[in-house]
Amino acid sequence: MKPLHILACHQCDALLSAARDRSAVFYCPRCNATVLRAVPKRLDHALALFLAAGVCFVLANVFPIVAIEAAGATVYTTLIGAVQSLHAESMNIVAVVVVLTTLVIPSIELLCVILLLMLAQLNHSSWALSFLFRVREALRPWSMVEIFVLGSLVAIVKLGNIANVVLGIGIWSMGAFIILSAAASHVFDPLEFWSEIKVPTTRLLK
Amino acid sequence: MTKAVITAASRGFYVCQVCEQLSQRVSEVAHYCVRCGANLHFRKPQSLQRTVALLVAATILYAPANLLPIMRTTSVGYDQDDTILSGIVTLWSGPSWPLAILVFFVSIIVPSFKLISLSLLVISTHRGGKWRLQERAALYRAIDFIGRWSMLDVFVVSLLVSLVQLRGVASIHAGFGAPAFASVVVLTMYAAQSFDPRLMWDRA
Repeated sequence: MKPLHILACHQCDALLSAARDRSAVFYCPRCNATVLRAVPKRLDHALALFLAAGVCFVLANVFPIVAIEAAGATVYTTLIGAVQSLHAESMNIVAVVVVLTTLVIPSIELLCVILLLMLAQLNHSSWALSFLFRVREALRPWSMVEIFVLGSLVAIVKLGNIANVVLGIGIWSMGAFIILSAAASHVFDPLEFWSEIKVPTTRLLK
Repeated sequence: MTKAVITAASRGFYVCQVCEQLSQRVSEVAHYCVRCGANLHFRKPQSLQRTVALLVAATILYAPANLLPIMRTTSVGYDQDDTILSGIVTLWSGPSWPLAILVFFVSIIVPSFKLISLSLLVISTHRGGKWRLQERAALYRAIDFIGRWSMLDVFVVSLLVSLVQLRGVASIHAGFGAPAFASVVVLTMYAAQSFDPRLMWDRA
């Protein structure tokens, strides 16, 4: 079976034929969903941006996010610190949700995409490639660092009139992480990615 | 227009839900995507049943999520319990009304809108028909996109709990509204993911 030049809309299943114009966005004529967004192939740019995002993510977790100065004392918190406080309050469901969505899932997702792009640079095609791709796609909706940063903003404003709030390195690093990973995701289009990779022919259906 | 459309499933093609590769059905055995190895189905399995089950669970938890306090502020001489809504009122009358509007949108409007619209989508898909198909398709995409942002308040509470621990002066503790609210967000996200929008086009 040869690779097909037709696509199916993932929202309404209409079969479509699309010329692969490099500068176009295709919408499904039936339901208007975005079917294909052609982006120039720049996997090495994506890899560089994801690596930079990884550095920022490490900094975001090591350094304090915010500190408050009140009543002569300074209290600061890190992401892990916030999770520990929730655990100490016996709010384990909330602690698990927070640690998964802001720490565990973003790190696994980032590791997957970095390994994926590295293997792709080596023109290496194996089960690992598809495995990493599937893991990343499954985790993506559950990575919520950008929502956490907005939440920090709300928390900072709420504390503004009772204490002096100091922004930590952690929150700036998170901001940088969000911008870098958004830029990387823009360059790295999962659908384009596969046209760069040779799929082992033995696994194609006859 | 909708009558002339040929779907992938009608011609025996699977669309991979992970990488969108098309694969042709060749036999009765389970199929895996030739490109990324994901399980292939013509439609998400038991889509409507799963969506309904998750919606029911989310609706049950919706009441405690909104009625129970999500946090308790203990200061010298007084305790104050805050629900999601009273937290927004404090923000509105106090430090920042634009943020209050934002929080109101993601914590109150989005979860209730999601529960109502997903139920509407399930019912209209179950009944079939062409009623406002384009709008229903757009509605599903909007729900799928915006749902995660409701987690905002959970993060606000976790930061406040961790920061405001000034012994003898003021402290903030999490309330049982917080786990209920986090569960509503997770369950409705799963519900939106289990719904297969292609079913409404199949039954049009």
